[in-house]
Amino acid sequence: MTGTGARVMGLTVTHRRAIALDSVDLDFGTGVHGLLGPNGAGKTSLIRVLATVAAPAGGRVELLGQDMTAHRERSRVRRRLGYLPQEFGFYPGFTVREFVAYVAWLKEMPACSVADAVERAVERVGLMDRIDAKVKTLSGGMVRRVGIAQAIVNEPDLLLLDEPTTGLDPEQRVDFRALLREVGTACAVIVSTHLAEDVAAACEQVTLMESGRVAFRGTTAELRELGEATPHDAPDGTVSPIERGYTAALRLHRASSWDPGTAPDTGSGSGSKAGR
Amino acid sequence: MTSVPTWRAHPVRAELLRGSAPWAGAAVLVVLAVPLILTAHEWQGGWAQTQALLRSVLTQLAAPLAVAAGCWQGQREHRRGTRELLRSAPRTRLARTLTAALPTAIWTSGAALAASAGALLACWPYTSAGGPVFSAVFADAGTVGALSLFGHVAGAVLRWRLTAPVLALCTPFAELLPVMSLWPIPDRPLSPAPATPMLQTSIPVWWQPLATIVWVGGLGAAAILLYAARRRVYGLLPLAAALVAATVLVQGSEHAWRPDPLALRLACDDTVRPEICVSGAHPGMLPEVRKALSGLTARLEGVENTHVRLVDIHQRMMQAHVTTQGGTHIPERDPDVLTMRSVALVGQDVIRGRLTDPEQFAWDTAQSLTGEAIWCEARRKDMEVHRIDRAVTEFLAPNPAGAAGQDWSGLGSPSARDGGEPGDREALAAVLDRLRAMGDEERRRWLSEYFASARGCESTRVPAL
Repeated sequence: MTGTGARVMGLTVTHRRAIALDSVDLDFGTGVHGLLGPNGAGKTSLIRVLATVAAPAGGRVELLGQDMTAHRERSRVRRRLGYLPQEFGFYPGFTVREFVAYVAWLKEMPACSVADAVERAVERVGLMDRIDAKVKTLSGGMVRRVGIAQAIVNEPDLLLLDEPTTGLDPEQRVDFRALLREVGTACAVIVSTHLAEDVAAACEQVTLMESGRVAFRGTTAELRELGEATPHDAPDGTVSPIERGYTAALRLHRASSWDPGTAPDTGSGSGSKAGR
Repeated sequence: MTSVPTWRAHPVRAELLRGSAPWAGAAVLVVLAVPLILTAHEWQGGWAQTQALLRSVLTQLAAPLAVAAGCWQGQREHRRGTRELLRSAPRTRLARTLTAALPTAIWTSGAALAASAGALLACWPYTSAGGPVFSAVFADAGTVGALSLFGHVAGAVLRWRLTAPVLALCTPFAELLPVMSLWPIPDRPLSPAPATPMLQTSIPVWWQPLATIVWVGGLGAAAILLYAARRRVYGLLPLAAALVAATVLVQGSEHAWRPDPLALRLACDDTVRPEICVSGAHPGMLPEVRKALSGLTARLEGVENTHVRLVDIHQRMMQAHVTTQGGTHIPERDPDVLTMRSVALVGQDVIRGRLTDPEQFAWDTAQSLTGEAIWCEARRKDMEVHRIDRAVTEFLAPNPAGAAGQDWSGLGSPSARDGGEPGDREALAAVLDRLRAMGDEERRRWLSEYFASARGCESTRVPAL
């Protein structure tokens, strides 16, 4: 497999007759990409299409350089995909080792490498001491870490994480961000989150979505700069620059959506930046 | 990194050990064990009875449970919210479905096999001939496993939470569908539902269990493939195999079962007179029967004109079944042969290799010896002769229901039943006393003369007493 990351062109996704993604063009290369946006912005819809579990209503999807229309290519990509759904389902009677091994089997990893890969993945999420505990005995945060372990067990080339930090305590969140940065050095990681601080701490690139369209694309530093350049009425220290940038970008996008004369180049491809 | 064997990482191992599959197996074991233990006295000692009961509980209790367990497992992806994760993986739906469904099939059919093995082992010490039909045991256990596959597919398709219990309730009726009155074939060759009478008198020919496994297993495999295979046309292959097996079962239904050759044989003791012959399926009962009839045979020693042989009625019925090709008419009578109660009736006359009531058994046999005379209308009308018939019966084997002259209700006394003379009991006791008071030689002569008359209805030929 030669390609890296993910690329969508004119991606349209509908959900119960509502448009979840409206002709979106995006690409994600190696590195950690944050996907920010309010509820209903289309983050999960985008992640699900990239995870090959939802079919788009229109547009084109290329993952790891492969077109996703053919079964053979889709299977090939799925082997190199890591995915943590927003609602992470698991089998409570399985041990951590068994469940992660089960996912490794689902990803058609060579049987001889599964045992070591499972231990490596579990170690990376800090659950080695509970590897033979049943999943049902773990706390919510630990279960989330099991979800992350299963997503990285095959050392994916494209890692899709939908709200991965939900349920993690602050210390675990810090560790997780470090893990993201480490994984992101070798593959494309797309993290959907509603927590701006996750993006600030772990992501190099950020895509802000709203109402199925791209409201902002740029680096995390650019979003922070936007926040710092935007006047605010909150007391200093209560809102981080990245959160101010998030809010400012959304407001600019909404304003431009209402006024066609100042509409930014949203949803038209990578590199678009709100208000620029 | 610790070194974990490759097989330990395979999901089939986890599916076999975790989740609902082991519980389903345990549940099947319990629902089979409870009725088997509660009714042990009805089947221990009889291979046929044991296998008939096993088929009954497997199809009526284990099969619905296996369907429900399969359905519950089939709904797991929906219930646990793992569909999203599974759909993002390259492993085919067929592989995923088989990995999830087979452990339940293995556990439920394994539990059925374990229960069957336990029952057969518990039966074994009390048997003396023959053995179980293992192919039928495997066919029944395979049916349980195949039905769990049906349940799995139903659960994967139907997400309603009550699907599993509803399917369990419907399964016994579904199994009976092929035997309902509209079904044109009387021997229910396609139904896994109990064929108890068939199993108690016949054994399947070699291809019958094989065809049954292909029939039910083929349907289960077809259901899995039609649901999960990427190319659903592959599901037509096992479906075709199932239909071929069904055709074989239906077309060959007349030849699918044959009478148990052991039950057609006789195990005889010719050291006594009359000879005692029990069913060849229960030769171990011969000493028990000989002991029960020892008083009767001792009293008949030296007596002439009695029947030469006492034969187990079950063997005679089986023989009749064979000679009349399925009919149940008693074959033409052999004047030297007299039927007696069967030792093949495990759970009734025989429990765990022992006669439940040896005295009753002896008295019933004595009744058979004098029976033709007692039930002969002409002799019944002659009170004096009838009294002699009853006295001989009582002499040969005392009525266990009561002492002579005190309780004759078991004899079917016409005086008691038909409002006969009040002094009949005393008269009968007097006749019996006269018979007992005779010298041995005199009594032998008299009895020889009596038995010469006992095969006919002429009351005038009965010697006076």
